[in-house]
Amino acid sequence: MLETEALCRRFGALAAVDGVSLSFEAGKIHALIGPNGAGKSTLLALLSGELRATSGRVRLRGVDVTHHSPDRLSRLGIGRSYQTANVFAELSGAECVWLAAQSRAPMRLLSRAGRLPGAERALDACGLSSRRAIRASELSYGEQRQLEIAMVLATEPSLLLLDEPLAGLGHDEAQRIVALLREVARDRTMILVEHDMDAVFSIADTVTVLVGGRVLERGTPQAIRASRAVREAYLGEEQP
Amino acid sequence: MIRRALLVVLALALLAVGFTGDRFWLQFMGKAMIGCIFAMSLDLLVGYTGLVSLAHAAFFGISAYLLAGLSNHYGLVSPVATLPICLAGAAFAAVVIGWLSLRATGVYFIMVTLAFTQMLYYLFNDAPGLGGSDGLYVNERPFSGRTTAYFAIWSALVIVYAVLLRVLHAPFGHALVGIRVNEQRMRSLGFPTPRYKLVAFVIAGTLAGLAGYLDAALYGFVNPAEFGWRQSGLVLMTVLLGGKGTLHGPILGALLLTFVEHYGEQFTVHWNALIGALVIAVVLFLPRGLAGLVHARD
Ligand SMILES: Nc1ncnc2c1ncn2[C@@H]1O[C@H](COP(=O)(O)OP(=O)(O)O)[C@@H](O)[C@H]1O
Ligand SMILES: [Mg+2]
Repeated sequence: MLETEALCRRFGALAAVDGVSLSFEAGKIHALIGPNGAGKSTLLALLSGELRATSGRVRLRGVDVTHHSPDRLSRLGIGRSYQTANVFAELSGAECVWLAAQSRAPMRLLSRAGRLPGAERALDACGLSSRRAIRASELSYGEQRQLEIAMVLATEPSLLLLDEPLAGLGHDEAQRIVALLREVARDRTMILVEHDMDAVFSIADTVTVLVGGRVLERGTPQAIRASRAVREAYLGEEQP
Repeated sequence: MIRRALLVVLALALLAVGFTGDRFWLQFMGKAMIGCIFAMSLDLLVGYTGLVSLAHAAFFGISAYLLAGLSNHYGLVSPVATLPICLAGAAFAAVVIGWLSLRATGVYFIMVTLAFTQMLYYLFNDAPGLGGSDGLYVNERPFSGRTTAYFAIWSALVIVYAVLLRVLHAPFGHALVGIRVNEQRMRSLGFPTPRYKLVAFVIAGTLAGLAGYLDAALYGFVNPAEFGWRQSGLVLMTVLLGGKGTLHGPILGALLLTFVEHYGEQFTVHWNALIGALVIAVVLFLPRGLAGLVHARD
């Protein structure tokens, strides 16, 4: 589905992503883990077109998309969420999702903004139907994260890039999002950056460990858990 | 609800002025309504899309000069012929200026639009064939008589208000608000935001051209000051004074400024300072402009 080839991104002297070659198989959940500053968010930004690669290639279904703009990649089916909730604070939850769904329609100057079935489905799927009329800024943090995912779903992506969707959530809220992610991933490909190891090991099909901008190891959750290199370089930090 | 009722009353009052046939009031209120159209069109950029453009006077001026040229050199007068040509001229200029200046963002966008305004000002000011700093008379005006011109302006104002209202409630208008709030997010949701901004810029520029056309038709006179940064700054102040991000705000702002300008001029030669003081007061005490007063009671 998606491949990177020797992908690099430098910020001055720092190589935040340093020669990453990965391939993400369709229909699977791919987790991306690593310590802070490992380059996970930078890698997602490269895949979504928000940052330009210093060198290397990105291919989507075999097509070179390295220099595509974010909106073009979105229309090709790549949807992303952000590390911090990034919703339209002034709009209601339903309006945020409707707006997102409009991105798939041609530019319409005069017709009324109507309800779109895709938007309704996304609201339902994320459990926000009953909270639709509330301003995004007044939703709880957990609900904002749900809304964030609903907005992405409303664009009907085939590949989802999620940056720490569980960050800052309590146990129950995190459980709800994990269930949502499982549901969402059924007919989609997902690349998931996440710190919560229990969640990662329970839902991911493959786990890639990034350290210092490079791929340290990649494998099934069991293999990664068992890997000595990973434990020393990364997991060891969290489980002393 | 109150707001809508007030607007209807205002529209009817403005219509009634047309039946007085009074030379001063037709000219005065005609000018005020042109100011309303001009300011509303800028608010589409400033208040809704979050683009502070100082190029707005350029489209006003281009359209006004086009009318003078068509009338003086080609004998084209009828609004059926001249209005579409003048609007197309303003729209074309907006495509070019918008396409170039929207590559810049933030304060750089403001500077680039300002530079275009200045460039056009000097171009028209220094070209003797265009009347130089004295400006040009429009030999024959598109509307016969002041009363006809006044009703044409009134109709234009009502139509522009209705069209903008519709555009702002369409998906396009929502997308503009999304761009103002968080453009990066809009792009990652798949909106080609540069195209949206350009279309907004062209709509606004075309409507500014309509204001310029009506101005030249009402006064029968155009001059390069219409292009100047002063004019661009004044219309921006009108929007801020009235309340950006609403349609009735710029209307209130334009009406107020027209009155202040006229009566201030009689009262003191320093009426510009008066407007400055007014803007400072509004920005400090009414951050949502005069429109905030209406909202408070809504
Ligand atoms: N815009 C930027 N400018 C400069 N350095 C950056 C920028 N974005 C990220 N970095 C640096 O790149 C490295 C990787 O960051 P990031 O991708 O955010 O890591 P992660 O998401 O894995 O915590 C960090 O050292 C960070 O400081
Ligand atoms: Mg990160």
